[in-house]
Amino acid sequence: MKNKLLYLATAAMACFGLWSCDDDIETPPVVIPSTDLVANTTIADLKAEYWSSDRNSAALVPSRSDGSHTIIRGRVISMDASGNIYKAFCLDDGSAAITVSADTTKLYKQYQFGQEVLIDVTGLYIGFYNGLMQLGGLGEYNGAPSMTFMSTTAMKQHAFPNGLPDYAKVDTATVTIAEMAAAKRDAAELRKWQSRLVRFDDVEFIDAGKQFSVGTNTDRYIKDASGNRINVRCSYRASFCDATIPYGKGSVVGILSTYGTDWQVLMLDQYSYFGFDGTAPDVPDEPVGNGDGTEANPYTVGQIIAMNPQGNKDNPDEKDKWVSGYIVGWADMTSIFYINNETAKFETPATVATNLLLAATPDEKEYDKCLGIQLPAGDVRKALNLVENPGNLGKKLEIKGNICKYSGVPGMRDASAYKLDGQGTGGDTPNPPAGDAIFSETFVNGNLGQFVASVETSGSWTGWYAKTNFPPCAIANSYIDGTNEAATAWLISPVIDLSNATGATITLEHGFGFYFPTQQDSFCTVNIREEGGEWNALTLTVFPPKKESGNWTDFAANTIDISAYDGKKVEVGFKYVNDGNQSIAWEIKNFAIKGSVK
Amino acid sequence: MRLKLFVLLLLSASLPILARTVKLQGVVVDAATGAPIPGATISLRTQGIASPSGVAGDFLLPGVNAGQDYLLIVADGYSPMGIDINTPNVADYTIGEIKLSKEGADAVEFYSQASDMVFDESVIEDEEGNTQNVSALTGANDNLYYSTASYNFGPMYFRYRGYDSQYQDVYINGIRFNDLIRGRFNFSSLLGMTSRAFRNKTTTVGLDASAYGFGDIGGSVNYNTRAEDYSPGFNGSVAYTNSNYMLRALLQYSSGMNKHGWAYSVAAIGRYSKEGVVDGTFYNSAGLFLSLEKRLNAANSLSLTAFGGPTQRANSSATYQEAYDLVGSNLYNPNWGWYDGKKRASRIVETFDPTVMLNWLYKKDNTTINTGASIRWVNYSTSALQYYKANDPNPTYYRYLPSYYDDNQELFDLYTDLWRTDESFRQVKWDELYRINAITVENNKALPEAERSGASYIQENRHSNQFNAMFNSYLNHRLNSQMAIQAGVSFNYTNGSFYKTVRDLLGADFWLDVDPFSDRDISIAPDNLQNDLDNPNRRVGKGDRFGYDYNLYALQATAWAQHVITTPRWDVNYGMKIAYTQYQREGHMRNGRAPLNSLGKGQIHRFDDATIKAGAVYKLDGRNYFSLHAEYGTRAPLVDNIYIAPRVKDTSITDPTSERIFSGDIGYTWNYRRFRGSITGFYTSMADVTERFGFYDEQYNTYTNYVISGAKRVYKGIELGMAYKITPSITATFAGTYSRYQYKNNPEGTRSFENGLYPDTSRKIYLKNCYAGSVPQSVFNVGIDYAAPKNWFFNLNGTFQGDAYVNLAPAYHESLAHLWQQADENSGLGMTTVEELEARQRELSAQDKLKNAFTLNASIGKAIYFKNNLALNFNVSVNNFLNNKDVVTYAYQQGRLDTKNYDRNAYPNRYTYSQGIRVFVNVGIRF
Repeated sequence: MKNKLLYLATAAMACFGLWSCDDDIETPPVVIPSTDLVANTTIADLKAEYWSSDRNSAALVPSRSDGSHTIIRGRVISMDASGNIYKAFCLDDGSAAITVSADTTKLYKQYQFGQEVLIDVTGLYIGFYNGLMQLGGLGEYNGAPSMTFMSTTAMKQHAFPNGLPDYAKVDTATVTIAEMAAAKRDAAELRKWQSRLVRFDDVEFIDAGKQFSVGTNTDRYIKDASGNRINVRCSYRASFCDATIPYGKGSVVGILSTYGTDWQVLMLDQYSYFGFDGTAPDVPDEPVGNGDGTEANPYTVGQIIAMNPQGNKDNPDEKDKWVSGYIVGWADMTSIFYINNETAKFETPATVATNLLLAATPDEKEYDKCLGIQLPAGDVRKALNLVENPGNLGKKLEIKGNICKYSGVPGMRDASAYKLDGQGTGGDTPNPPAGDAIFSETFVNGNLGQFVASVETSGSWTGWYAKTNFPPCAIANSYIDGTNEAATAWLISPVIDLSNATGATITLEHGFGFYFPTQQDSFCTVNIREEGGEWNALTLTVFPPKKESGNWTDFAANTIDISAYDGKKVEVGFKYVNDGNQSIAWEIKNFAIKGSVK
Repeated sequence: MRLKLFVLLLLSASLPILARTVKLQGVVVDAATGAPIPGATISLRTQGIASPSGVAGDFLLPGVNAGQDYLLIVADGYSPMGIDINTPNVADYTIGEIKLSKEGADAVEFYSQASDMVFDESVIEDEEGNTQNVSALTGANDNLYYSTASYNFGPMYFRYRGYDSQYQDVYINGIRFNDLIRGRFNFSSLLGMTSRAFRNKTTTVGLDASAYGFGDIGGSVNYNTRAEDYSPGFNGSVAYTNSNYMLRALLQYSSGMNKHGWAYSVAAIGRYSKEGVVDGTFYNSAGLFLSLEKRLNAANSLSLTAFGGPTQRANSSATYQEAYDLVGSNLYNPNWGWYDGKKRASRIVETFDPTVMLNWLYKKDNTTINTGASIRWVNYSTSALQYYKANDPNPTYYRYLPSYYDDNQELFDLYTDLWRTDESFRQVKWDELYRINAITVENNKALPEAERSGASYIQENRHSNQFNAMFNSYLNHRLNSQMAIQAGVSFNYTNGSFYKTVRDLLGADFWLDVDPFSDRDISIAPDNLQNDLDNPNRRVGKGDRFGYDYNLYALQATAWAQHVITTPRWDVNYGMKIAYTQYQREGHMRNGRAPLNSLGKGQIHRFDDATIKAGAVYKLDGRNYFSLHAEYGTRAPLVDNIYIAPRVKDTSITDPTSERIFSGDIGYTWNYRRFRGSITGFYTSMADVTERFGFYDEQYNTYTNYVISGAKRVYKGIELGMAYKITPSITATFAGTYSRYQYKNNPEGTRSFENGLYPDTSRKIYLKNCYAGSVPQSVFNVGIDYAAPKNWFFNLNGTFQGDAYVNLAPAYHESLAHLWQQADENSGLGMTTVEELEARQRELSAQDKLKNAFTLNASIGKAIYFKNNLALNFNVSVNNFLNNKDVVTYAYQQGRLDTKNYDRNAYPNRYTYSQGIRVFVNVGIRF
């Protein structure tokens, strides 16, 4: 009551203009993220504990012996705002750095660049995906455990930001390409450097003047004064993907990531390359040329370099194209597997017969103005290689093959024909085409194309699928979780119209694992039917032998005459049967139906 | 009876002894309104005895010598009156009512006519579902500030001392008529008859004491409808205005008391407009009023009063500035569309509140007892479009506005063009709604009964009805010449009924009674979308109840008493009030979002409250007064506020508690012949305040309830009213207030989604020093009056209103757990310092200020008197004659916050504007 009287007295005074001093609208208190977690392990220790030489693996991090959880603390050194880094962030605690993969975009908001983050690692998976150690969720690679993204829920339950970002505390290590090239060959060094934020000074982009990555993820190499190179991987989703790669020397900053056995530098954003002092050359060194890849009007070397093909052996950018240039050298790739200053040789004698360097002028000495030409075994290699034919150096060569990337430079593989000094057409044609391909499916693109798979099985096997490597192909293998499941699996083509075809043939390559038939049996059969009709088994004639080591064969090509179906509409079915008593793996690739079309 | 006889015998026995002096008593009242006049000085010229009148206008002069004398009555603002009396030689002599006329009574009539329309128009807006509530000032009081505020603080919604209307008590014949559900009195239930049938009233300002009730901190008004208090004769008027309605006709006939003790008064009113000043609105209203009185004997009389009438009108609603700008008019109304060649409204309000009351007045000697009972039925419904699995039919839905497409220039231009040039685009597309329903009906024909689909669109009625039964009795007893006591008891039972019905199926076969907005997560909880689990997937037709259906029962019993002392130097009063209140909800549907907590009667909430009040006036001399008033007490929260989502469930806020209110004011009044006025400072603090409001959240497609509990609000300010007579007929006036109405703490806010998408959540909201919304805190009015010869009257005044703020949305005042995650989309970088974060939070929690407004008003009046009491008067008032169309009357921040980008402008404020120039022409006749 006393209070109320006091109230009354103050109220009376307040009425006469005695406004209280704190009349500003109150602002709600801001929330600074924090966590009670306390780190008990360094990132270096964690990485050491789970490090392995396997390219793919995954292990669940258990509680520690005393029941407590393993907790790490680090600062975010990456950001995905530009889109060059995707569904991942990297933490560095001074001892080492690690990549955290989470199935969430816009991570730059929740785990901000420069912000401290504590992660309760227990209950998460740690391991490798294609050589990159990471925290994440359990994935599968070729049927074996591998790493993938952790769920958003898991991320929120395990990774806690602590405080606001402090850019000053982000540690960027200035390194050289050579140091990093050495580091990747030493497990301890690899562990130490992988996922760190690094800076390369005085480097230049090999592809200056081009755009970083349009339409597809692109490798853009930087090189130092000695010609040492490192891959700067650019995502076509990056906000700077269509920016022009600068000329001259400058600095590049990015996360040192791993793909396979090689580094790839992931730039954070458009500010991750700077200080480049060069300008675009006024005049191109040479005319690019305007060939169209035909025998009559072959591509020039400059055209191929400008094209900057990214394809590989199985997926070349263009097939069976003619290129014209001068043989200027060869590359010694016995220890380094790409063509660079070190490996490119512009003289004879040569010690490697499997490649050539082709340039626009006979006296070219810069490897990055050359195409790398792979020489396939056979007549082409025999006729052109500089080991056996040192006199070819400086000669003009027109050569036909598949345009793709070869050993890190624009080039050609699987050459099938050539004209040396304009003289005659040489080379062999190992698989002369039996007419035009009416339908083809390589199965090497990670999918089954228009083929439809179906399966009946005693267990959980899901049937035919397309592998993406070792090697890419379609495969059926009902060995699942240590058991051979009794199964019947079909892989059926779409309806293929042979109504105008004559002399139709099926060509395909097939291989086996754990099972080595030498003639057609009832387990692995190729079948054909008229649209909607009954299946008829065809006969495979060539079966590849078991290799000296391992349980797998190479591929063997088969050609099957199906001219009986000329003028009809057909479906082709690969039937895989396993009675459950043995392991059978069957692989198919490069399927085609050829024939003359009226 | 036996007791009375005994007293009579006793009195006659003692007569000879006491015969020398007489106790003389009476009541001083206003001749025009019958309102008591407190503070009048009553003196006997020859005997030198004097006494002031009390709050009920009553006085008592003791020790009067019998015989001839001259009684002089003087009161401020009234013409003095002298009466020759001949006091008989009895112990007690009552001279009854002494009627004083106001100085310049015609001027008073002129003002009440001029303000009538303003009042009538402003109360039209006072309705259910409008979060704003209008506290109507009822005028007619000696307080200069208060009466000027009543007449001239028009355009924005001025509220006396910033209070919600629940803090102002409205009585009719002594019965408190504030309803128990929303706490306020619905002035529109007086049917626009405030200038006639409800003209007799007593207004008590602020914390002053009144004779008829304890009152509230916002003051009180008591309407008196006793038939004998109307001047006998006929009154009629016809008015034109260019506002919500166009025409008004009003009649009243009053008989006066006849020799058999009967008196009656009947009145009728009609208000009409085919289309109001706002496109697509209309107004139809008719009302009847009857008062009948029988004087049983000198002491007792009975009065019966009944009134009521239906009103139907179409409504506009607040919308975005963007829409107003696109249409090019601040009076744009999205709630209509062309249909069948006519403008058809989507929001139609229908009300009918018949009221009956019976009063027994006992008046004898120094005691008055007024006892009354009343029954009232409130029928209120408002219609709206409802939709299910279809596009929102509201043309201002945010996705139909160009701003939604501001990252796509082509669509932005397209929508801008449509808004500007295509009237049908910005109005309700009735044909489209019918067409979509017709397609469903056509498809249904091929389907078995069970698989048929319901309406995509309907027009629904949202009902909120009440039944009130009230009883009240109060006593005024004069103890002696200086002291009187007043006391009363009252009782109110209220049954509020809330439900929806189908008004129009718009051609469809039926409406499926599920929550249209709960079904996004139907796979998780399929029962969630059922409004009535016991009748799942019910199909309803025209007139059927659906959606929600519940009652709120409220009961309140009150008793109060006060003691008033009036001496030549001091007026002192003190008193107290106690109240018992209980609330209960009863659900008639088992709601799928709260299956265990929605059907049947819920928990009873009980509140015990008490209030004490005291006031003193010190009269330094006849010209200078000082006053001090204070009140402290508790007050039950409104039943409408304690339930978190009453349409869905019985859940109330945790531990609902009574508000604690302290209010005090201190004033100085001067009263010289040419210059009079008063200045008052006030301070009011309310603690433990509970508020509930709701908004439709377009983000979650649901109605969201938000209850604030434990809020503290402070209202403080200075009021000044002055009048200076430049000449006897020209008076300059000033009235103004400078005040602050603010929250003063950080209460708890509880959010409840009606579609049950998320559980209810409570968190602290930081409201300290935020302002009450849509009420001007600075108001100044300067006027000049000229009472010209031959009964001409002229008034010119200008009003400035400022320091008003947008009604805030609590979401902007919560601590935002994820605000720090705002990182720049381009650089990817976040905020690195607490200061940056605070700046961002401050920007979000700022409260938008409304534009200040200035308006000029003028009025002219003329009265003509003929023989035989025939009188004509006419008034022309032009409010806002500069035609300022930029006066915001109401504004609120949308309840939803953009939690993706925390963009303050993502969901802009909604506004309503006052119309520009408003003309009122009234012609009246009486005889």
